[in-house]
Amino acid sequence: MDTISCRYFDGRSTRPRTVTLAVRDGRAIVEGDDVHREESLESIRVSERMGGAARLVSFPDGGYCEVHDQASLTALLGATGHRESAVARLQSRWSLVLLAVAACLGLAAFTYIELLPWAARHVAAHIPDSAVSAMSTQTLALLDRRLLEPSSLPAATRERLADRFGRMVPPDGAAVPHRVVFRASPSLGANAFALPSGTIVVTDGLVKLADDDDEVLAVLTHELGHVHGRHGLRQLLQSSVVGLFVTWYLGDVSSLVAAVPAALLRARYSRDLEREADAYAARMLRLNGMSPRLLVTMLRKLERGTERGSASEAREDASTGYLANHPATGERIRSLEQE
Amino acid sequence: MISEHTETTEVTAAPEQLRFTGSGSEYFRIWIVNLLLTIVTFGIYSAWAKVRRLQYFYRNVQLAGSGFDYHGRPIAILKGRVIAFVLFGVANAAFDYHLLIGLLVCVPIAIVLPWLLVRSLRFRLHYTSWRGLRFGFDASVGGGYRVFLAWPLAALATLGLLWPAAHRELKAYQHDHSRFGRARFSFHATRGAFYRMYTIGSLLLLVVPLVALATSTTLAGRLATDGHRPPSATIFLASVAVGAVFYLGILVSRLYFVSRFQNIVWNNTRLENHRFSSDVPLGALAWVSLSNLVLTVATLGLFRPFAVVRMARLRVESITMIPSGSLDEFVGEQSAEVDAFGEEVGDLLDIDIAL
Repeated sequence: MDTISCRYFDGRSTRPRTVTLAVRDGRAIVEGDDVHREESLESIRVSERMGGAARLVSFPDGGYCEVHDQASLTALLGATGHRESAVARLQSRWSLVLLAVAACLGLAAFTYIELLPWAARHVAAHIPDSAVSAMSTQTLALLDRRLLEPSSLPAATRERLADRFGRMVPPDGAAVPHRVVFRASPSLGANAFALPSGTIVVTDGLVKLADDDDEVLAVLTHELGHVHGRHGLRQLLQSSVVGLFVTWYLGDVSSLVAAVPAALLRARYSRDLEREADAYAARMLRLNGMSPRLLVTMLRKLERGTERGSASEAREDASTGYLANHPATGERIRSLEQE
Repeated sequence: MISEHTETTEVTAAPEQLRFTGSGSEYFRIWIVNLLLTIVTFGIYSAWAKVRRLQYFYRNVQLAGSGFDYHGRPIAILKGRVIAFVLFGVANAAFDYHLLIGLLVCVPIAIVLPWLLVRSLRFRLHYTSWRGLRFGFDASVGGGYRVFLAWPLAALATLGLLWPAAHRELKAYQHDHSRFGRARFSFHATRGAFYRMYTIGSLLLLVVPLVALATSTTLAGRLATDGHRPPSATIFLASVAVGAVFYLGILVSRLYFVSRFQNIVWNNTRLENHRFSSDVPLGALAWVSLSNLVLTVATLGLFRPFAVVRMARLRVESITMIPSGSLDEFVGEQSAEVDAFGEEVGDLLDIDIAL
């Protein structure tokens, strides 16, 4: 049988010895510069193939042969019946590698589309109410300091709207604890958003934009949908996980570049949640003898308002409102009209 | 010391540039298989994945015709990971339960952390070899508390003023106590060199935001003179431009830091009388970093293994060993095995103390 020329190291010094490696009668034989070793094949370990790097044929005492001649070694290993590990075989076949690529991409897509929203829903449902209301109180306090001002609507209007909304029947027979508050906000313009605790903030601008109470109520049902589904928390959880993952993955890079793919990935989630809240609103409106078209009308008005630039996009992350999603408004109107 | 070459002074030997023989397509296959198996085994395989990954990189780093090798055992790494995971789980749960209890749990963790990091260094080097001879790390744990706890606290207390010195002490601690076989490494960089590096790095970081600020005010001024509200597209473009300038500053500063740091460390490290030199080319570093980033984003992350290989090649091949004599004369001895717990805690905390 052929011999392979290679370098032998004894494990105690860095002196290389030029030797030949051969297999005779089930024993490995190393011969060369002051070296003569014979070892049974069972006691020898052969390192996995690592691309073009030398493979190592190691003896139990730490001595080893460094083999650069991969082709000859492969032939020798084949002749002795050596089997590469399953993982090494997986790595060496491009067809299997491509399968692994497909599997990884599939799993990633599954995680993103199904697993993460599912997990976020379950985790959000188990966050204690005390934590949720503490978080929401803080957020509202922050908004009150930065963006919101006391409402200038007549108290009668506010009471009438809150009272009418309070008497509406929620769908699915499940009462959703909530509280409607009115605020003025030049920077937010016509807007409404829900905090996870059930506090629904309506701006004076929105009330003025509406032609009648019903249109305001339609927007409130949509916001109640967000509260009902704990959308604020889910969005927060999903966004955090996506953000952490993208930042970690693009690790070396910078957070600015990582922000772009993260934002793209998050957009889908907020679209899904808007759709869910729209569906809830449509059910609730119909249950109370009102038309889902009321919400469509309001969406149209809000969209026109956004185009005029009367509303800014400044929003708290923990809340879910209209403006961050205006690119999808057309689609939302279409699917609401089909309801 | 004991190795023979120290007695024969200044035998001139040819410089040996480190070579990296890995390729992106080879590492891609290892990486994707590692990834898939790690996912389908719910992370258990990650210990085996780590060994394969490190073996690939170590064996493809060549010095004087021989590769390095990594000998860590997956089971030891897995145990370390489980313990580290449980530890952090406990800390996390404690924080969830109550902030105060979380902080209380963190105190003992902070106290044992330096000890763990010392073990991490010990593990990493103990399981690294070249030509069959193991590296080693035998520093006192007390020294670990000095560089991992006392110095960082001092740096914190002085609002970072002492951080360059603390960083220098950390590298000195690592390199002064490392050995290859019986040959000892030593570290000779001055604190001055670290202060210069941090000063220039922060200047780069500071100057660029100023430029960005100037740009934005100029733009705002021009838009205001138009007398009407600028279209939102213009505002968008302006903010993108300002953001890009900011990013450029961070990038330039980072690149400078990466290259300068590696150069300082290796130009001032010796193994007995053997020296090293490192010269990371800034232009190439910028090119590799930027193209890696663009391609990784554009390929949904699939370019990542290629990116890692390109960066490793650039950084490894920037290092040259300048031997004072033959590299065939190092000798060593067997030593006891080291457990992987510290290493895995370091990994979880994402503390990179390798280079």
